[in-house]
Amino acid sequence: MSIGSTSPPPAEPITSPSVAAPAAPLRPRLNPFAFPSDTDFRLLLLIAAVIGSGLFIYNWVYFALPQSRADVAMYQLCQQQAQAHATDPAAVNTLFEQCRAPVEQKKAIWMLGGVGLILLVTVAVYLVAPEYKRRRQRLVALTADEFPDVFATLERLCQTARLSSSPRFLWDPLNGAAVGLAFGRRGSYYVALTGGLVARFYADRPAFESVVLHELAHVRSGDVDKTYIAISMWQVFIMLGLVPLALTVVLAPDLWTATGLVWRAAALAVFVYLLRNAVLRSRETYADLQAAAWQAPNSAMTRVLSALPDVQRTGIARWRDLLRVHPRAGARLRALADTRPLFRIGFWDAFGAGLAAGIAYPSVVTLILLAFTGKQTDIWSWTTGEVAGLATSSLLALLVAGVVGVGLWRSTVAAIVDGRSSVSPAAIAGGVAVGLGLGAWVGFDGGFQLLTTDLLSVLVYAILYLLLIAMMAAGVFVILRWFMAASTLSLRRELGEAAPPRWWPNFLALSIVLAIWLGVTLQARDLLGVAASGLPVWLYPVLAGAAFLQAAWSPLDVLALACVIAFPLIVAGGRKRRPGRPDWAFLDPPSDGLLDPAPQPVAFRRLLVAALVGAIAYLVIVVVTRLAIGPVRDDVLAVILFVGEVAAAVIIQGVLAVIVSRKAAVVRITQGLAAASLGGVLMATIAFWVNVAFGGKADGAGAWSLLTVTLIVGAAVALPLAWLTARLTKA
Amino acid sequence: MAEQLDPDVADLSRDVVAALAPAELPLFNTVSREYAKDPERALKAAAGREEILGFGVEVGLLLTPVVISIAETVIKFVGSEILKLGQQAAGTAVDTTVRGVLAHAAASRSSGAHSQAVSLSAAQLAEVRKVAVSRAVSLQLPHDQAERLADAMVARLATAA
Repeated sequence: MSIGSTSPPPAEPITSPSVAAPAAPLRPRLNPFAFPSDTDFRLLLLIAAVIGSGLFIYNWVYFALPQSRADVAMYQLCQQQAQAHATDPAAVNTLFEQCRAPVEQKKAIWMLGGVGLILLVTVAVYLVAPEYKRRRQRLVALTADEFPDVFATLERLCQTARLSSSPRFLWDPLNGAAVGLAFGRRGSYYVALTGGLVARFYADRPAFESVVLHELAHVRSGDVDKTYIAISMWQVFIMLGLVPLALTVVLAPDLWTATGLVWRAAALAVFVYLLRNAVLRSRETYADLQAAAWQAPNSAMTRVLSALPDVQRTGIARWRDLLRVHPRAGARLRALADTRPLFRIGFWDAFGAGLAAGIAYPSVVTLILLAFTGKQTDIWSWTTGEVAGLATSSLLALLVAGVVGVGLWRSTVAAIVDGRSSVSPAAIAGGVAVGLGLGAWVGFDGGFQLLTTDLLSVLVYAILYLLLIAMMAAGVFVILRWFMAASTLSLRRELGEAAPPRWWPNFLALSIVLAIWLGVTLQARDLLGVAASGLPVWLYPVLAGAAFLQAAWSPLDVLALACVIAFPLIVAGGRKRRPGRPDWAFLDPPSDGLLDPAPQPVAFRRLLVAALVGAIAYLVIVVVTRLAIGPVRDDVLAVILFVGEVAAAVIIQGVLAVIVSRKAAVVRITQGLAAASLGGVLMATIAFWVNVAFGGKADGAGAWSLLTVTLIVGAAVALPLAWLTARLTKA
Repeated sequence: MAEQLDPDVADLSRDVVAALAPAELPLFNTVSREYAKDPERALKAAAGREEILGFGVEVGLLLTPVVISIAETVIKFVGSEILKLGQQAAGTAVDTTVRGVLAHAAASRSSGAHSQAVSLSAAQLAEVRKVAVSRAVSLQLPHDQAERLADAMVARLATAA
């Protein structure tokens, strides 16, 4: 080029790198928007982990207050008073509990106040952050006067996104990056554009629209609130959680305790940080897909994503992906072409859910115990600790069921559509159990368990602890198998309907059963911890086993059994609401004949007839036996008769389970169990009224015990028999 | 801080932006106004401030602030050169302002006519190019882009031989 020539050479525009054209999808993509996203549950897990940790931190910080010295003196005084006024250990304990109750309740209020403060400041930061961001980044309103063409396009895109109210568009004219960002708070959203992006409007309008639609997808799905709540919570957790803990670590009585606090705080900070990132990552791919769907068929999303820098990491270096707040561009591109990766759940998802629940569990139980110190509960002879454990596990089971249940449900959809067998829930069950088992140790309360230092006791404790975790995993595995079998049935029918399925009944059923199982196993673990704090070694399995025995006869088991039977039968017996093509399940039109025909319905009549026949046979046996024996005056004979009648009912239930599961076409095990349980209810009723007819008492409590024993023992026999029958015979 | 750019700088940089990054032309007035308020911030942000949660084509550069900054340097240099020319042409009725040079260049480009204004020699234009490249490189612009930008700027200043 010659300098000073009259006709300057035409300048070549400086442009961004060009990118590859999108690839056409090979098979119809599944529609992830038809199913609940896991972002909500991940956020709830984050909140649970922060609440659990916050409760412990403020419990610990309480000891740093001058008030705590007076409390210790109060404990000593209470102990002296209790010992002075009673000799029976139980009475001493009751007096001590009542005496220290005001102190413990004050501590509970302090802990709640601390967590309340964390949550309150989180909300405050979430509310204030948009304005702060606006000022700090000097974002100004993008006006129609200045850029009428850009503004008109933005308005059109808002209409495309069908937003109830359009966000306000701001921009930073000087920022050269071509980036958009949705932020704000509920009811007041902003989409910030950069100068580089507005310039992109004039150079590459489809790319500009892709970026803006991606941000509008965040607004539409409510992601903006989740994102900024997660970010605010992380910041406030450091400020009001970890900093006070760090300041008071010096109060630890010894180096061991201080070290325990420090590593737990670090582990927890890492976990909360990773959970926050998981929340932020999980929403991005959905926004890409939504934007691409809105823009179809001229979407530039693939082009935009291809232009993003992407570093392929292999092996152990992949851990660095966990630190990212966006998924890798390659993964996003693959999800755009095939959404099936969004329909998978793995060990680590389940592990994260278990860990968050495990961290929160002991702190919440401690809070409830402190708040109710000195108050005796009278719910089916459970102690306050048991009620606290069950209430907490029920709450946390909702979260675990949310993450795991929704994940498995979605993976079942993909399996059905692709005509392959469902994924095994073994890894998921293992993840939940390991997470829960580890959570108690990573959580701060783990450092404060007063375990014995005797080597044998520690060994026995460790073995039993691992055994309990293995039992928990086995139970969760069975529950998830049951859930997936029922979900497969319902989804097969729903994939022949024009309307999307309701997911919450499935989620509720899983939550109930999971809550009861987790409640029992965590209760056993707590009792094992109590035993290991100074009781003889032989009591370890006894105490842990007591939790299972107690639960076996509680009404909760009847509830679990009812749920286990009712849920699959209801979904299998349901009718199609709107028969038609399942367009709701796909982003691309599905080909006809893609799906298997819906399974045969449940033969409820056969199930009822079988139970009735069994009950009539039982009636004959019981009446004949009673007539043969005559009036029962001897207690031993009465017990033998009771055991005999229950045994007869259990045997008949076993027979019913085998017959019905052999004949059944679908949900064979459940149908067998349902016939056995229905027969069990009828037979318990018969046994009760026959007993009354032959001169026995019409005792309500006795009737309930008879029903519980018949149902639980009957189910314990019927379930393996139905399973064996289903395995060994063809439907 | 000034609220508005020097008109010579604005004219020169607008023309260069039109040639090199036409998509940025609609933004020129806003960006130049912001630049005038805080040039340092404008140059820093032009390279694309990282927005962790944002989405888009993250590799980006807003050329306008860079062009304005180079234009400022160039205009300053040209001003000093014109001063020398003015001293040499003492007593002759010629326009010895930068604006005159720019107008002269624009007029000669459009009509081929010669106006009564001083024009830069080839050697001076080469010097201008060197100054522009040097400034562009100091602003972290890749060398090839710096050269293209300098060429565009020199072309704008060039007068009929």
